[in-house]
Amino acid sequence: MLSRIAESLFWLARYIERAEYTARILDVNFHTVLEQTKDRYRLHWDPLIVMAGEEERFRKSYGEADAQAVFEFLAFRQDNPSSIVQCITKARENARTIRDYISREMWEDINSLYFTVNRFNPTEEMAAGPHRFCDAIRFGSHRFHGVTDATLPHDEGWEFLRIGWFIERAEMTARLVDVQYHILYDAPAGISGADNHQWMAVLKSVGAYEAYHRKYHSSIEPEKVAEMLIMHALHPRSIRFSMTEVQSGLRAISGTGPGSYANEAERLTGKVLERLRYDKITEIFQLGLHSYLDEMLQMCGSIGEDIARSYFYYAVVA
Amino acid sequence: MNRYHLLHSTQFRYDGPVSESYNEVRLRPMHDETQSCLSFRILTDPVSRGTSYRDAFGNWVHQFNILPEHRHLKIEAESVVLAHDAPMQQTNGMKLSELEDHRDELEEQFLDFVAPTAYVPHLAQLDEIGDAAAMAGDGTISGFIHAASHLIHERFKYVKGATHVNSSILDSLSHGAGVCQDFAHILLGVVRKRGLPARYVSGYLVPQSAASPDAKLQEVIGGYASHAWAEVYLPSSGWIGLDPTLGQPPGLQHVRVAYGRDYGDVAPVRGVYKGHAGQRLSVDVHVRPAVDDEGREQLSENKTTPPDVPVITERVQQPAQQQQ
Amino acid sequence: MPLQGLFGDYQTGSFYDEMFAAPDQPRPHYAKIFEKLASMMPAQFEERRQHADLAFLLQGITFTVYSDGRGTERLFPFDLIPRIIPKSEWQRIESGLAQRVMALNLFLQDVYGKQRIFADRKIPRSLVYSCKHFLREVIGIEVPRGIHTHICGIDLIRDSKTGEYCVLEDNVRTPSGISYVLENRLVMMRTFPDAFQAHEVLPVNHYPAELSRILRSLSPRGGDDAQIVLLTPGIYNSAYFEHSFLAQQMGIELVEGRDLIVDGGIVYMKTIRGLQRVDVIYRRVDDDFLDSLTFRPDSVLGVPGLMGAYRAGNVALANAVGNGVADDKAIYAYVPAFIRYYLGEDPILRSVDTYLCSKKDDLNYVLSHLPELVVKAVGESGGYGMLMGPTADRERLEEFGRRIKADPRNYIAQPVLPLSRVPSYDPALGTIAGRHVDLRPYCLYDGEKVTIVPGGLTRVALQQGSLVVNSSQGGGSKDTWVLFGED
Repeated sequence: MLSRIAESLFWLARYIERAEYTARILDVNFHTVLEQTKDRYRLHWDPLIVMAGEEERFRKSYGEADAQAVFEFLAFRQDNPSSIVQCITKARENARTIRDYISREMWEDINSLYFTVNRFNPTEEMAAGPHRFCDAIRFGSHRFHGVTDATLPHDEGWEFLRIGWFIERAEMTARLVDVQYHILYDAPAGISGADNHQWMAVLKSVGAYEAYHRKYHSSIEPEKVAEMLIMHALHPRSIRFSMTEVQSGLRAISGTGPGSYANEAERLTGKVLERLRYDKITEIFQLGLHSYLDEMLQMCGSIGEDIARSYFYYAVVA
Repeated sequence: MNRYHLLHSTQFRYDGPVSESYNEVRLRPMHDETQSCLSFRILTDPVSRGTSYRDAFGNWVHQFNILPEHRHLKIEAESVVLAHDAPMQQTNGMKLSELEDHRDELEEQFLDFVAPTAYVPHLAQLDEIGDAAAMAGDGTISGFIHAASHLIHERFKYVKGATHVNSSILDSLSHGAGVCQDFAHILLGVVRKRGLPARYVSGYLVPQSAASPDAKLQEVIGGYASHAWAEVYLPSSGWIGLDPTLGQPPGLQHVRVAYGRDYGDVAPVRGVYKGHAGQRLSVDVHVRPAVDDEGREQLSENKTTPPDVPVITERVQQPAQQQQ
Repeated sequence: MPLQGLFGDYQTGSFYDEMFAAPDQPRPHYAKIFEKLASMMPAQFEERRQHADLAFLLQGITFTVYSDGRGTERLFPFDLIPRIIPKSEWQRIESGLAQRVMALNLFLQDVYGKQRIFADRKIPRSLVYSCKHFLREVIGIEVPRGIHTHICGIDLIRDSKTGEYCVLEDNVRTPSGISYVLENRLVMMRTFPDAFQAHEVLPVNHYPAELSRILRSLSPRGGDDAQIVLLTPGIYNSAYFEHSFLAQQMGIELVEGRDLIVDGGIVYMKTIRGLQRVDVIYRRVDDDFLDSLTFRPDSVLGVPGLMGAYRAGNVALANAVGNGVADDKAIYAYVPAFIRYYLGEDPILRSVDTYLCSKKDDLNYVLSHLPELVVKAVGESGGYGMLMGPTADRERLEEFGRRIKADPRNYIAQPVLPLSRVPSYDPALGTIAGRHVDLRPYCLYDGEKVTIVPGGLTRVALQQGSLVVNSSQGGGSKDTWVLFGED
């Protein structure tokens, strides 16, 4: 398989996942805010901008974060490289460069998602609220997963898609948790107890609200939420689950069995998973959640770079 | 008959790492009736594998590539050449006024050597030199071309650095100065405008010997052995060599390497590489007679290049856009 | 039979109409489709049309227009009414094209090889050497199996005056459009299945298999495991859809320049498992951009060192490099002479009379007849540098006169040809009206015989009165049917 095709598959999946994740967070936050008082708006909206890593760009265009501004910025802005519209555009662009490789259905699907997204009128949607738009993105992403799963041979190309999907998901979840806790600790004293809503929103945005109740049978506690999102073995949006998928993908490509590694990306993935398996949430909080997640994000970054070094841009030596 | 040993070394130094370097060189001396190339080899550092072919003008071209990262590239071409005594060229005394009748036929046969090129556009200023040469000559075509070569030699000053490697004749015409490349290009332009086919010749000019250095020669070409001149086609006579830089016909000290429409066809080294690094180029040519007139081996080496003078004006390699 | 419904008050005008021999008299090979259309309600037709458009959109069968600086994708308009060619007519076209392709191939072999044709004075050497696309870098290269013109798209028109097919232009560099032929047929069969039931239409879908067979036969290493790739300039190229379509149909790798690398005169592609040797490249990148070492040093679309590998015979390229000399508009005038010289045959298809401004007599004629002529710059394509005499104003005519005088070699002139028309749907009018068409058949040459997919791309000038069929200027396309018999 051509390196460029592998790379395009990897990024195709990452962009779709980023679009879906952003849509989820936007949607849930918006609805949580409906039940909030005005002075708490900022608390809800700031983390989203921070998460997207686009704080500076946002401040330049909007200044204060409110629902309208954040929605427009994260969903539609052409000059925000992480906006949903931009992600879908880039996903389609990647698909277009490999449309001879992917199935006809996959291409038709991503193509129609692209046209759907572009048919939305930002002004109308902002008036109507983000639900309709975000729902279309989430549905589009799910459908694309399904079409891919059902029409693309599960060969090494499929593994690159899987790796792209889950490394993006692991990073997004890590950022989500990190940013939310950051806000929590930075918040003025006296409001932490009332932050149930914020945590509920976090759980809902990753579709883990019901699963949380099933597992913990308790009210929403920040530590448990973090534990669930970081270390749950089977919830499809936890960092641990995502990294397990990345590991299986990498091993399928290189043919490496458990207990060894074929490249730096596999070694780092193994190391991350060891920690996620044996660390306890109380230890993590003692050491500092932020530095823990920060390290995790850095390792994900290194894994991505090393995948590129091993498979996309290796040094050519004759 | 002279036998020369030539060592032409070209060195690129890059500010940063470059990779995937592809190069094409025209460094192998010609092998024909008046010159024999007895041996030729080319070495590069870093080492490379190469292929070679003859281009449309009959020149030898060597291509090679270096993929891994590197910060310098040295290309060393070594050859032994035998220059024969050129037979006296017979010219049939055709009149310049008869040329017009042959114009279409010459263009049909030699379009490449009559048509304007990027380095040699057919500028109106060239006619003035052409008219003066026609006046100065004896009315024959042969007289005209020699007069033209002489006029260019007289009118233009040899000034190193007056022009650069990508200069068309426009630059030297306006400065009244240039290097051998410009002298040759101007001569091409003057005679082509009259409908005479003319080709650019790149090669070397060998100083006569270290024992009796020809001071004038050295001064004229600025101490460099790399040289360029021209050949003009005379109907029913053939190609006649002219060296407007020296102001005298090419002889046993001229070693021919390549023919072309202009410099663009015969650039000694051309290449592309990946990387954003800038480059410095230095060229060094060592020539020594391999055998003297009595047939004895000459062992002492005459360096014709002052040591370590980098020519930075030349940008033979053009950086390709980095692809990642 | 009075015209009705969709046909409204259809006029054939003074043009050759492909469907009607006279205003109310369909030709035999069009009779059945005419009845079908005449019995359709405009709303029914409109519904099918939208169906077809949606199919094209979803498949991304679009081309990119960069006029607004952002690059918008547009559909290449598709007209549902087919162009129909009866078998006997097609056989004549087919043998005429085959002859032409063989002659062009022999010409290219010759000018880049022994150059016999100059010695025999059948074409001026200076004319060939002055062609923009005559590449000195290619002289002396022996191409695999002597094939230069693997794929040719030859533009034909039917002259309304004589009813005869003429060759308008040869495209032997990287002709595009075959994907539209195949997709048009697919969409047509889906949206208009009933139309096919009445006729026996020759299939077109064997094109990729035939092309693949030829490409495979070029492999310098021989054997069945030849690695064949299609080299594309990338997704921003207007024909990118076609590149990916053909790669997929042939089951070969679609590569960009950055996927390939040359080492020691061998071409490799970069895969996740290291370098893998490439044997044959179907390249859709222009000569100028193929190799930054040999051609444009600023090109990032090609592969540096590729020409070295090609020259050494380690990789095959289709089409061959340097083919542009054969479709130069001035060389075009000599193709009938090539056919006589190389094949010893008379040309089957007529060429359009062409005046070469480089010739004194022709130049004088052209300058005094500008208002009746089409003037074309020889090195250009796609309608650039063109003068349409009859519609040009005085100022423009004078300007062209000056341009021609300043650089006669750069111009040729031809009489204006009234192209034939095919009934086509005009969405603005809601009825069918006559629109001008040309025809580009695709010819494949394997070194022995020429294979032509029946029909080809019929391009139609959808604007009323327009003779310009280019997609960038309001042109569309039609499915082209070659019948198994005469009706």
